[in-house]
Amino acid sequence: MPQPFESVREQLLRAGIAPHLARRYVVELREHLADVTARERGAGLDPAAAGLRARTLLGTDAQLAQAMIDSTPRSLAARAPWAVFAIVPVLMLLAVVWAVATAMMHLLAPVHSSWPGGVPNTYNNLITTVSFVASYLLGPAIAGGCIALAVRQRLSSRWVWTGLVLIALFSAALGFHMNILPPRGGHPGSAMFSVIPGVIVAGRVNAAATLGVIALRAAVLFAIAALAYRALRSRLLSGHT
Amino acid sequence: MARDTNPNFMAGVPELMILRLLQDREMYGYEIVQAIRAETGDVVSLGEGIVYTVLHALERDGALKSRRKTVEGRSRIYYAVTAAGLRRYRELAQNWTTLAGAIQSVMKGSRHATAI
Repeated sequence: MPQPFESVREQLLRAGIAPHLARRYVVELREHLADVTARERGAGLDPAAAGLRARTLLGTDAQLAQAMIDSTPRSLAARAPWAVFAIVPVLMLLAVVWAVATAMMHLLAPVHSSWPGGVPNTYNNLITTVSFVASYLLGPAIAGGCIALAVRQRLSSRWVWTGLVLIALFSAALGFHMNILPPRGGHPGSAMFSVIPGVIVAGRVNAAATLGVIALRAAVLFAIAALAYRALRSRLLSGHT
Repeated sequence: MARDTNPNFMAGVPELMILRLLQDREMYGYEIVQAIRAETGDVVSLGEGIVYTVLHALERDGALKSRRKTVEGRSRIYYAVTAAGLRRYRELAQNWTTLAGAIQSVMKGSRHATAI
């Protein structure tokens, strides 16, 4: 049996009220319902009649939801989905990439020339891990965050889809690669760093192959994100119809 | 220039009463509804469910603050008035007193009534 006022929460979310405000309103209504029910029982009504009377006194779900909708500003995601789903995720992705790249260069720059025997394994492992996370997990994590936000707020805006496309494209176009050359024959060592995964064919970066890989990666990420979003939305909607 | 009108005499009354009651002690929603009934002798009855929209709006404006508190095993959200809420209360009370005075004045016919 559904909890009381569950449909109030659903109506509020679909109207663009922030989830924490909707949740709190419903929690307070449930507590109030319990208090009114106890009062009515104290006045001599049996439990069922007291519950019904209390429910009537509080108003219908539609009235309660409308009162809250009329008096509460919409959430940022409902007011500006273009910013929340399209701009912020891309900026976040770029900011994390910039931060990781800067941190790795700072970490390596002062010391790479003092490793005549090559880069220590600890550094290599760290670089490999960070590169893997930034190249393959960052995009899906941000896309997952957007999907969770959209589903939680019952948003089905074209901006959610636009955001997923942009995240897939940007994250597919990012692939960390670091090449550290130890000092050799009087030449100091160096660290080379790239954030775009160039595909090398016959010793040179091949633009067509690189674009092909980026497109393939973007398509895979978008397909996974789109399937997850659709499945979660369908599941949620079927649970509240 | 058009004059400001009083579109609804009850506008601001729930806020006024809530801000006044919460000056004495912090309360939760159900308590506030009961206190308004008791204080006004059932003349003013705030909607059982609607009180929360007023409380949330006042909190959003900084007139109230809330906290979850457990009393006798029941956890509830208690509201208390803030300094901004006190200022708002004084403004609302002043407006209401002026309006009530004006209405009283008309009812008594003290200014414009002509002796028969």
